[in-house]
Amino acid sequence: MIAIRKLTKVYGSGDTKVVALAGVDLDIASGEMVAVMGPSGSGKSTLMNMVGCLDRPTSGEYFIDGKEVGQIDDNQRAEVRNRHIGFVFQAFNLLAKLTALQNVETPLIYRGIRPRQRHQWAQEALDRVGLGHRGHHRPSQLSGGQQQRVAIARALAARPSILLADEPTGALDSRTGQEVLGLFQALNREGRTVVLVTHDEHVAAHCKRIVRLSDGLIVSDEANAAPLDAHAELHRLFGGGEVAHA
Amino acid sequence: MFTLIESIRVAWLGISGNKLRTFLTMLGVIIGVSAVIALVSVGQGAQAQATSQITALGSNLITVMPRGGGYRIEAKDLPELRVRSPLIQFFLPTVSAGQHTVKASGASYQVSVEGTGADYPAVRERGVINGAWFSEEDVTTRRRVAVLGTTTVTKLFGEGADPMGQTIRLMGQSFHVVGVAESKGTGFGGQDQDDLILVPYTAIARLMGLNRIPTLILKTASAADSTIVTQQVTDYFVTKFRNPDGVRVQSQDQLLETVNSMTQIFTLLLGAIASISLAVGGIGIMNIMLVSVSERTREIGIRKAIGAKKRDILLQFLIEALILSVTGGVIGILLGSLGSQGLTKVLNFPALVTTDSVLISFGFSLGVGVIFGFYPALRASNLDPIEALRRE
Repeated sequence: MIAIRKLTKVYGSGDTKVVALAGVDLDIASGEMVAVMGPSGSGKSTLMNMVGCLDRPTSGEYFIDGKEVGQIDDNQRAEVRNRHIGFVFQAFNLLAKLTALQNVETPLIYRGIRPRQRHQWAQEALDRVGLGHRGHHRPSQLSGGQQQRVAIARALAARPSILLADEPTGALDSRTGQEVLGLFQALNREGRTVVLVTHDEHVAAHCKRIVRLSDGLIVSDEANAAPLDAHAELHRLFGGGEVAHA
Repeated sequence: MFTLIESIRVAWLGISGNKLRTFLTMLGVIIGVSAVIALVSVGQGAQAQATSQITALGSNLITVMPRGGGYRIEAKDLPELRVRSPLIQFFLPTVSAGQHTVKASGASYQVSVEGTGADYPAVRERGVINGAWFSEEDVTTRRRVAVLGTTTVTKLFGEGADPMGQTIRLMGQSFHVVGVAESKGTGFGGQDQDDLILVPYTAIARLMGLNRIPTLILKTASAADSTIVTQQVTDYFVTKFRNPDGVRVQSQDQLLETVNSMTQIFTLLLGAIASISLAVGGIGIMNIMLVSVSERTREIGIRKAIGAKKRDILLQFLIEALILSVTGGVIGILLGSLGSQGLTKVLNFPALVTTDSVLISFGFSLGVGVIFGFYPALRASNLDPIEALRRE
């Protein structure tokens, strides 16, 4: 579904030239759950921006569902983001003035979905993350974990090809983080493609495949034969407490 | 498609978040638009007033005035003009004698005195409510008769008195009251048009030692006739004076044009001064929109990441600016109209809010929103989503 060929990204020119990606090849198939790892400066953020169609590569090719999206213009890129990418950010990035439901609806507005259908899709997405009853709360009235769930619902609502999460547990305590990981695993079991960008080995260990970057190149790309189960981990780490809906 | 309604809804959320700031930003436009409405209403009121004054003098009139003392209109010119210009219906030689003391039955005060002709009722469309207008014979024989305005009657003889047959003293002579002129009420600037004495111009000219006609007013049946007569009369006097600049012949239409173009300049000037404050209001909007774009950089980044196109962001911020300017404009129109009513009372002069000035001000406030809102909106729409998301 995702095919990246000899992708490079170079910032600046001449003496100040910085090579962020030095020729990356990557394929991600539908239904995978991939962790992209690397220390800071390895190019993992740049790769995430490329995969998320937020930026244009300097050279190389990027296909989503067989369609070249590397060199398209800003507006087409916005459309690809809207239809194919569901972003989940470390800092949640919800719009503070909107309710949870309105936040989830926003990408559907930009897609031009009619209000009635929009409400329905957004409500379904909120139900899926277990916050169907919190639709009329504003982000400030929700806990960090709940906010991240709303953000995941927003990413799901537009029914994208992939969920692209950048350090989704980075701003959460370890227990809530574990719950969010559980949600990603559950969504993946339902067939959704998940790409997690992280520097945390424990988070990466929940994925079926781990891609490691260093100095703008993929240095390893391995299947994880025994991914951690987020629920089991939750039990192991925090005992038999209530397990969040997943 | 991101519909207009959605843009308005999103823009409204942006504005309603900071009510005090929104109000202060609008205030600039409110002040600008109300200033334009109020001041232009003064100009347009002046124009309407001047026009009604001129038409109140009668219709299809031509004013003939010599330029400079050397050129005279004399009594013998009248029969000559009658022959050359058969389209002239009425002749009204006029001597504005100015203010003079009038005395009658113990009362005495300064009143404006005008020497005029027997055609006055036809030309000025103002008859007598009592008695009769003086005749052509009265004029040719320089009879000392007078028609009084209603205010003058009250001042000299008391409220409701009948002045007919009474005698008044004017410029050392006795004048016999033969009529009371129809009331015309209060004119431009509060002048009482019923406080005057009208006498045969021949009689007053003799008392003033005047052997010419300072102003001759002619009346024709139609505006078209007026144009022809204006030319004929001009030709006559140019030949007589042997000088093309010896006389000024002006039809009422020309006078209206002149006055209208003057009041229009007046209106434009007032409007232009007021527009400066509207422009200042627009700069206020631009300033606030720039601040708002920079404060909401992250919001813009989020919206772009989840699929907002440049156009969506541009529209959102442009509509915010438009809501500010148009709401300000509507409030300004209401306040300006109230202000113009206030001015009407203070200036004793009907300020006039016309549909035109309302539409133009509304259009201006719309324009201010687009012009001053466009640049901030463009900046917002051109933000790079990655940079924008990085901002706190």
